Amino acid sequence: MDGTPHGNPGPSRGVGRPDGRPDAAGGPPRFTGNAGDARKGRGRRGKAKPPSNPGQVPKPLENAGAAVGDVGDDEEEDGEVYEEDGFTADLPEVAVVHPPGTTHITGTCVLMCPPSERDFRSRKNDIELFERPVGGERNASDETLAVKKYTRIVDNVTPDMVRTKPALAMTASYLYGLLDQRPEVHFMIKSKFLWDRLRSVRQDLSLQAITDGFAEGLLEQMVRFAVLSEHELCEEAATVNNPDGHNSHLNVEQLAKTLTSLRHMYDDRAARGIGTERPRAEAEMFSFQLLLRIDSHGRYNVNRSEMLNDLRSARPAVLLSHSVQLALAANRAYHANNIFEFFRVVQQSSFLQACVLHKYFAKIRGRALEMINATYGKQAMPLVEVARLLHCSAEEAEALAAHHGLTVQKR
Amino acid sequence: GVPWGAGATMAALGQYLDAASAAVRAQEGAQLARLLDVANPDAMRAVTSALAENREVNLGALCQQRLPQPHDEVFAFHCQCLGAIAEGRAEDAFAAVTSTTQAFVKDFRLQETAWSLDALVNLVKAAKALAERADAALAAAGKKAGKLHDAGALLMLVYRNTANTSVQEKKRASLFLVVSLFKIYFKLNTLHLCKNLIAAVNLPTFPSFESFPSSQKVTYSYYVGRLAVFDDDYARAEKNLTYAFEHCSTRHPKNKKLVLRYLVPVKLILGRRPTKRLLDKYDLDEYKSVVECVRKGDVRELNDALQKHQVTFIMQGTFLVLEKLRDVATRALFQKTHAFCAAKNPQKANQVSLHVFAKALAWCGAGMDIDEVECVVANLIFRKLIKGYVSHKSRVVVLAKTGAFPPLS
Repeated sequence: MDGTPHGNPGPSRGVGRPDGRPDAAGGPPRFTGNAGDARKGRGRRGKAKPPSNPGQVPKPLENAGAAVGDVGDDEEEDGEVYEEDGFTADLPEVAVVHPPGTTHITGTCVLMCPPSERDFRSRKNDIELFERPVGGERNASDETLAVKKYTRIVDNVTPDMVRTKPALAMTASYLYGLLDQRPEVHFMIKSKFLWDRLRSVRQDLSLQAITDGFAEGLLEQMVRFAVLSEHELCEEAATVNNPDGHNSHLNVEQLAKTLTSLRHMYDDRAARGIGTERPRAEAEMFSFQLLLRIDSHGRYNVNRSEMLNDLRSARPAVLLSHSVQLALAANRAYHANNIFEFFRVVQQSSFLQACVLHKYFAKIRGRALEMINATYGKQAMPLVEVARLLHCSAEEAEALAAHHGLTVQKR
Repeated sequence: GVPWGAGATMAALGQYLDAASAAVRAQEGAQLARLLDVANPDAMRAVTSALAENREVNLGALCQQRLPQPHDEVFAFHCQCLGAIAEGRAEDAFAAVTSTTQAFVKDFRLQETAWSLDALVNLVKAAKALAERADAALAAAGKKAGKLHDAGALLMLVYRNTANTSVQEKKRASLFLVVSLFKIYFKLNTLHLCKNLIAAVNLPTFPSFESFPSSQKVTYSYYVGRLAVFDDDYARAEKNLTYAFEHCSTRHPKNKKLVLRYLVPVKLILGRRPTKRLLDKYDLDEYKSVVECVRKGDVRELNDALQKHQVTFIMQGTFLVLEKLRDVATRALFQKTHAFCAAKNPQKANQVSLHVFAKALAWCGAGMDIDEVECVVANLIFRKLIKGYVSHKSRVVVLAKTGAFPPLS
């Protein structure tokens, strides 16, 4: 990552925030459909039907109510009653914003922020901290500091309001560079600024329908930053008492959208036989996508079948890549409740992959504790031993035990 | 041969439309269905020869002259569709059949009988096929392929207009429509949309399941079974997939194989094994080693087999369910270990040393340290595959005196 200072996450991060509620037993999700099994009686075997001849009246069938010709047999489809569902590339989410009636625009703004916006925001006292000269006020900025803000409304966009490719590259680079500056400012404030301004970069890309390697590179870096900030800010969650805290699920939602846009770009190029210029990055991005779907985290809900959907729409080369295999191993270990294998995978993963896996530390430890409690003979276990089995410190083990309602006695 | 003088070509189209008009006025359902079948060669010839004579022929006007409303619209769009098909314009063909169907439904809704249902079914089939063709063309051109999604919406429209009615005969095509929608949703990976359909089938207002043709019931059960697999509901999956397998005609071995592809892993999870003969008969090579490993408790070999074929399993959608077999294999190995320990030490027949189990795992190539071994076994207990408890201090599993290895189903 470009000049990003990153502290060592260490095992102490995040355990202090187990889920608000005790985890349910790790049983399989129940199928919620109706029973309806009364229907599965012994039906009459289908009679052999002649192939339907176009132009001929189809023979009425013997069973009443089925006189809809050879409807069910689908003999027209080569005798296949049901097709193999070939996997398809996911239909892309509407991450590409094309307001109705406008065609792709080509931006002409060479600055990080269109001058018209800078003027407008200056007059409205809407210049943010990083956009002000040192000691400056909310009403003044300059072209080396102002960065275009994200805005939902994109009608009547004129080319001068949209940044050129070089301007976008410069903007992204500048934004990441901010992380090294102003050490007195909390990472979270920087992160919120970047989150918004990078979203605007993404918007400019999509307004211009830029989907080539240049766009991929920018988006990939945004993904990495979002993953990093998820971990850095895991203890700064927004709460009633801390409303300006980090909104993890919003961040993850944006992250997921960016990943979807990226996948669409990669698939698009693969479909046209061009092949991606950056196979390792593609594999890395896909591994993030899978890692994020291992389980629900915080307020971000995950449906188990989503992972299979994702997998089915990936190309074999990506599936068999090292990054993706690691993500699958993590998924396997997590759902097998094998905390040893899980942390082994964590050790083998890249720093950023570990940032995502970190989201599940509390849950897997909680489940491990629950499992121990349910399956080990009644005994008192030294906290140090529990900590060892849970791969955490004694303090964390104590907190976890208390959280799950287990008694901790002092000896 | 028919003389191809000027006017003879238009005459063919005229004849076609007259036949349509007659069918509509006499409410001849079978005839109408034939006329609205996109595969009908006479209709196709009538349209293409008319277009050849005059490409700007006003189909709308011609239809209006000969057909009562709204069938004039229906046939105008249908002719447009045939023309587009003949010229290989897939997107246009799909757009046309969508319009045809929508116009058709407007009339069908108001009918007090289901006389024209067969025709509607033909339109639906055409819509789905043309959507797929259109999507293939779009994808090849590097564009977004969203026609199948639109076909789904169209089918839902037809479904609503044939299912929510007091005219019972209109519901004859309901299961066909449900199954067609399943196919679309599976292709589009929008499986969550299937749940509402299943709920609809289970409503008392839905016609008796038995009343539908066998092939539709088989297909329905196949998809319901597959959905149950995604939801980890193996009992329900087994029930439905077994029904599909048993009722699937032997004239469709490919379909039987498709069912088995999902039924075999489900049965394995429930503790039942397919015979080698069955696997041979349906050419299920990729399952042969899997079945053997699960039986022998060969954890390492199973892992290798799953790794080796993972891309195939992922594409088939069996990947996640096959992962569950690791537990089954581990349990089988543990059971063998228990038998071994009990034989060696009959006094302590209900105890299994974790160290011995660790050796067994190491021996089949899946060695792990004692803490992890304990974790793995604890997991089997937690998931109720084994009944007993772990004695952490002595690294021993104490099994229940009876029913230590409950049946998996």
